[in-house]
Amino acid sequence: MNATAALQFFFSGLTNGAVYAFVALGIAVTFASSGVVNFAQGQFVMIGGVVAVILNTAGLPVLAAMVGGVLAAMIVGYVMGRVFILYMLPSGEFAVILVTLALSITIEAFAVVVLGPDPLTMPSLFDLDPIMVGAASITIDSVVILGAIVVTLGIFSIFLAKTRWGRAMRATSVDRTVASSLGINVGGVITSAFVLSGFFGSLAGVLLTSQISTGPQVGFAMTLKGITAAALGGMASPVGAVLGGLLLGLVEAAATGYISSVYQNVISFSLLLFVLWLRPQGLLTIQARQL
Amino acid sequence: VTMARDSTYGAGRIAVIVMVIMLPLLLRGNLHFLNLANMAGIYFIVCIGLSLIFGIGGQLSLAHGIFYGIGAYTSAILTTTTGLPVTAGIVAAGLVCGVLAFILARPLLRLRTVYLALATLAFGEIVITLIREQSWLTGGSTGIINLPSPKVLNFTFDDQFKYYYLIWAVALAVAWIFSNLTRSRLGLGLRALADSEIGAASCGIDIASYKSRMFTLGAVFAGVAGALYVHYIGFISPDSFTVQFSLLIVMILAIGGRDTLLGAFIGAVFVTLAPIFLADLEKYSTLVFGLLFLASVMFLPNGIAGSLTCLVTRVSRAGGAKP
Repeated sequence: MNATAALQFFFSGLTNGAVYAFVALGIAVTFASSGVVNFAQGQFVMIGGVVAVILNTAGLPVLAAMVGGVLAAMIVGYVMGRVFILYMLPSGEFAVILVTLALSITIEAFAVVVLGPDPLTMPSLFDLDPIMVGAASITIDSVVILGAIVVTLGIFSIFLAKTRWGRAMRATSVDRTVASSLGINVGGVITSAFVLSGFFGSLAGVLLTSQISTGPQVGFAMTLKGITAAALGGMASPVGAVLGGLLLGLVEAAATGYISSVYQNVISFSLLLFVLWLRPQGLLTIQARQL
Repeated sequence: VTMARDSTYGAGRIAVIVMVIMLPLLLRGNLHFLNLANMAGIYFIVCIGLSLIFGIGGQLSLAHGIFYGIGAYTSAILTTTTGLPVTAGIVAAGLVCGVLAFILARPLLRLRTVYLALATLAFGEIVITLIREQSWLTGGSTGIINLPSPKVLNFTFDDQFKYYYLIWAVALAVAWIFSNLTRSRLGLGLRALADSEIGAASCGIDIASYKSRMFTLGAVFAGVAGALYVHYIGFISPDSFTVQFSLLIVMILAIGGRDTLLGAFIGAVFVTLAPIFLADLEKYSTLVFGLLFLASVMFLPNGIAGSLTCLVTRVSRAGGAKP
């Protein structure tokens, strides 16, 4: 493979990686506050994208449609956290995982019933030509997604480390009962984590939709990518989740470029199994968290 | 008291066996219902296998559908290329799944909850891609057609009526193994480790070994069921063994009741009959399954079977009978 093709695969890997990083970041947020790995996380990507397309088709400008998509996913995130997760938390981790799995299946089935299974597209926010690097090109949307993940990660890390609310989140993740006894509104923290993860997921969804396409059935695949990325980098750490996402995107691009696109999943899942086998706490987590 | 309970238990067993034997005689004219009864039997075997892992052992494996597929492909390939008799193919399906599961069990089941779910799912995706792509062996996405019917001595199980007895003989044998196993040391140990691995380990239970035996046996059941299925329908293609199938089994087991035979049975009957009730609502069927799954996880943690048992106990207590 020549340098241009390699660079092209690198760009596409980074773009996909940034999308996975958003999903993984959403997973890390809810995991860090409630200890829940949200199997419905990918559905936020779907909801964001699909709602944006619907609004755009209804005549709203692209930017407004995107905002609408993100808001819709945040509302779903609120309901998910407030109604389902808080209700199930006392029943234990296993029950919560099953509920998120059930929610994922239900949300997807509902979207398919309403919209049919076909993929949907939307015009790009930016009417600009791709940026050329040598003979390889990268679209403005890709650059925006990459920029967005870096900025989001930065703001979120500062939020976690410096603000009262961020500290409350971290305290909740260590021990809900103790955090509650110290006056932290644990229910509020967990609900807000789900709203935030809805925000991250749908941001990826709306940015992705103008880049490739979306559809009612992208959610579960996105969940898998996101959990894979989060597990690669370290479930509890936002930086780990984002780097895991980028790594996953690049590995997939390399597998597609050097081997074959049909073996893309085989390569990335083999990597995952290998990491889970050797370092179940993730590549970047220093403090071993009991699995 | 125990003797009385054992004798009602024995009577119950005999009643079930008689019912299973009689059913096709009642349905003889109706191939449609006979076909449903056969599919229910296959699902029942698959569900019992997962019940052991997911219900008794409390481990969320999403590889169950792929073991069903590996069993199916093992038998389909062996019987069409080497001319192995189908009955031997079905046994080979169980063996291959068992050996594979045994090798994978220790590294996989070290992981818990979501990591286990993810790793088993990853394993399934890898295998299904290999099945799709290695078409010299598996026929690729078109699969293999004209699979032979099983034969014992000179008797060929070549129609729904005869096949019914083959499926349900295996199903009852698997149910018998399961029911003995849940009351054995292994079954009790698995229930204990499902509650608390640390607690179980402190009582001297070898967690890794118990999980490994559970996973292996569950995979054997799935593999045998897969082989029975493909020789019943006569062809094989990878679409039947995707992640969706693993998820479906988890769902119907959660709806039926994940740690009892009755639960596995209700789940199997439910999934077989669902297309009849949902025939007019074809496109709503996944939504209905999803909502029922959600409702049962939230409100019926022991599934329909658990709630039924609970209800019967309450009614009989209210009636003054000693529990």
